[in-house]
Amino acid sequence: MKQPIFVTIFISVHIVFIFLQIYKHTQQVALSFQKQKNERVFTTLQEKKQELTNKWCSRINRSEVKKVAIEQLGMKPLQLSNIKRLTGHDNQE
Amino acid sequence: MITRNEKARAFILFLIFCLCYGIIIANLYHIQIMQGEFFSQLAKQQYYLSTTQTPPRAAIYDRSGKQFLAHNKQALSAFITPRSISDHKKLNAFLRKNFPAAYSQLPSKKDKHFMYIKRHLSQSEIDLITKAKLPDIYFLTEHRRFYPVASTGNLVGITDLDNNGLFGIELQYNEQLKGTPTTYFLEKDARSGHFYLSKQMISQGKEGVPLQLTIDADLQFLIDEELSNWLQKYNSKEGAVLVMDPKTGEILAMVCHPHFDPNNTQTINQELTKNKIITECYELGSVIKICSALAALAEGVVTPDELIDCKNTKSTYIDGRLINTVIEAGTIPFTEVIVKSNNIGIAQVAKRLGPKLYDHYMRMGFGKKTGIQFPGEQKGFVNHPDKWSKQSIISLSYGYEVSASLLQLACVFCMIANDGVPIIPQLIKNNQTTASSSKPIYPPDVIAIIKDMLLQTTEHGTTKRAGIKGYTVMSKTGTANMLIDGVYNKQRNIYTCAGIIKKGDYQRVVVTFVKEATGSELYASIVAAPLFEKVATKTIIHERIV
Repeated sequence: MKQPIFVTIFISVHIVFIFLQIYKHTQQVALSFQKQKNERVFTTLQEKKQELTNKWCSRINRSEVKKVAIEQLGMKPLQLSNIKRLTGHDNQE
Repeated sequence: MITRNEKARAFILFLIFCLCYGIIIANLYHIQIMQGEFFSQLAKQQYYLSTTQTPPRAAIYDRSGKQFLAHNKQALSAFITPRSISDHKKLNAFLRKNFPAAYSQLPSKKDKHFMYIKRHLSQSEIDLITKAKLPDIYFLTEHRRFYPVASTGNLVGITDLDNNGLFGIELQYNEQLKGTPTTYFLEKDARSGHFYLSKQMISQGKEGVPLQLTIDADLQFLIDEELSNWLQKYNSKEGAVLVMDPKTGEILAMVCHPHFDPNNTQTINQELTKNKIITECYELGSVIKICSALAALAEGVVTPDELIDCKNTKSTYIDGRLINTVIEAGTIPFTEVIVKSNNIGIAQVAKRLGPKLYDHYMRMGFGKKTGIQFPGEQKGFVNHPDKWSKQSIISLSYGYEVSASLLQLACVFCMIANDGVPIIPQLIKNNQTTASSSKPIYPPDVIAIIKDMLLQTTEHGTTKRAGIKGYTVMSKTGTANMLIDGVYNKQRNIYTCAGIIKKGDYQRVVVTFVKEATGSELYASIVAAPLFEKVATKTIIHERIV
């Protein structure tokens, strides 16, 4: 009587271990896939960042900024003669 | 009861089965053991592959650390798979018309799996291919460099199609910028889908390290504009401006005109890619007089107040050599010889120096490299006393038989601004590897005399137009005939103005240079000095030294 019980328990435990091993492996694969998906998202975000950086660089094109400042806003380049020095007063900022 | 016959048949059947199993086992042995290595490799090829990831090329920043001077941009490249073209006729016609280089390569690559049509396509080329709607042409994304500040092209340089530096900073610091690739071993399924089962690093690479230059991108733009307008005014072929911080040797702006567009290298003029401030040398003329004056004062062969007879003429002979000067003068103090830039006076003083003048020029940095980390730097030339003619000392005294780069000239003025302490010019911010010397190479009292001479030159001498009210400006001009086919041409000149602008602790060294201005009776006091004033004004406003 004891022998069949022992054999049954022995086999059952091994089956459980096998299932646990399979489960562990599937979890590993699932996490690996998740990590790879995140890597892809990261790459996409980096490309997006680069694209935005390029757009920002083209927006701050100095020639264009100057053109807008002069033609649309009516600004003029600063000359030394435009700067007045205040003497004998405290700085009130 | 089993008969003998049945036993025999059973035995034969048994033997047949044994034979069949024997064949199976033998085949298994053959496949698993004898050809095991072969099939194992075949299987590995299916589900193991090695891949190399190249890091993106690192960016180059200006001195603020926020403005890009070079960074990466995505570019599309077009390719075909020659072995599997569906419509040869249409493709050939399209390539023949629009991409003749690719069309000529196609016959030799018809067995290949991959062939580029063109890399880094322009927008018009992308539109052309898109509109053609050819199923055999594909796009792939690659990285290319983009340079927001076009005037830094001959300083920063450019890269080739594979993002390797070709010249300038991109070449000098290529290894640092590109990093090293990382190699992985991936385990994938046989369908070789997007995902892998395991990833093993074979060799670890490094990311590229960004560079921060000492260049101020905004100042560079302002000066580029100013120089461009100035050269147009005089219809000049070339010009250059250099702005440095004499205390640290940092180069704040380095502009050469004309320059090329580093973002459009389809048709590139190689001549325009040279950084003429570092890689070209010139006989600079009278601006070198300050160096001969420094040498003479340091050797004690003259004092600033000593009266020098300048013969009261614009032309005279000394040692058989005809010497011309622009402003005639009589017997004047040596200081006035420099202020009025009198060739006759300086030649007489230089004769007292003799071969020691050569040693002083070498001490000041002429005839050797400055130590800047930049490819193609020229060290210039100083005529050695062994090769002197009777008149060489005269030529050397006012800037001939000595050729120097504008950077070398700026370094001399930095040394003067630093009370005799020389500097090593810097292009990289916080460069700890190169430290300037802390010992003066000329005594401070001699330097003080030189500074006074330069100040007087600006106040009432040849560089009056370089003066800025409210600021101390110490400057010197030089007009030099160009050597064309072995003869000095009086109609073709180079005009230089170099000086120091100072207010309190703030100091900047500015060098302006114009080559071949159109007009008669032009001198550096008219062509280069006003440009110095404009550049210096832009610099002090930009840096808010008011």
